[in-house]
Amino acid sequence: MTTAADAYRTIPELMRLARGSYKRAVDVQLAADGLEDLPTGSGFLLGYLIDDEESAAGKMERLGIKQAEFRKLVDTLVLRGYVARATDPASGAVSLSLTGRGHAASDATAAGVTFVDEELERRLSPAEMAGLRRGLAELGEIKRSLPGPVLRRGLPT
Amino acid sequence: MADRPWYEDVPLPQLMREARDVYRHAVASALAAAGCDDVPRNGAFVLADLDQGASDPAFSSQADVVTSLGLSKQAASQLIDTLVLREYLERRNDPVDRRRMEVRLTGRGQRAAIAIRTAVDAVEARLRQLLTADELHGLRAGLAAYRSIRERPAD
Repeated sequence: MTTAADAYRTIPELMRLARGSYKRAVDVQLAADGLEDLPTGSGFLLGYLIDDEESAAGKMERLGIKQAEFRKLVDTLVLRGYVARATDPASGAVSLSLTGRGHAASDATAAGVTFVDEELERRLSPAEMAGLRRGLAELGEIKRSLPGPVLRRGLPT
Repeated sequence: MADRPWYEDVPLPQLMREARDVYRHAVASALAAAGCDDVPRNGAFVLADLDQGASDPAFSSQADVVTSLGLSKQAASQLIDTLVLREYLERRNDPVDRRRMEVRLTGRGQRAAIAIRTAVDAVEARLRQLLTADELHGLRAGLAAYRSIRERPAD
């Protein structure tokens, strides 16, 4: 719901206040399913692990994280039973796959995201939804057009 | 029939992630160019909030600044401390009520605030060129809806 105060907020303020909406909804869903120890941001990684076609480098690029962070996150997910690691004895290549717990966490993450998206659809008119999509897309394009190195965004929230 | 825009098929969380740092990126570049590259995270919101565009800015209640940030009291107080330490803010006791604190921009803070304002205005001007008034309204309404969903996810 738009409040009277929102009319006076700048777009950067609105963006700051909007930050974390998906994370909060996903956290609520994970807690309901007894999966509170899923590390921040790794719900997205679990989703990417289902996509077997994408390389580890591709996953890191999409997550916006460094190799060391990626490996540490994977280690934590293995330790907590979300991901299984297997090493090919012939080539030494490591493959990762979701465990049953990992699939449950991936489903909970998707449910949290769906909750927010459906709430947006419920609260906004189709024209407002279209404006939101176009506006976010253009902000992303503006960011890519800015000079200088792009700031690292870290783990998604 | 017109082509379907590319962003129609991108999940909203991804669009949010890719858009969310645009202002931070623009402001960080402007602050670095102004010699103010040690503004802490969220500090730009404080400086922008206190920016009155005046050469001799008035003091504002620290409590009001902290409330508008939407951070925890401890995090907001640490942020103000850092901004004072790095000479972006001047702090004093409220002369009327000595229990309360007031803050205002220093000369360095004003320089940073101008850089922030200029960077934000440039992004917003670009956005106004690219979006219709209805789309801009939709963007604002959508961001406000995200906030209200985040605050009351179970509703």
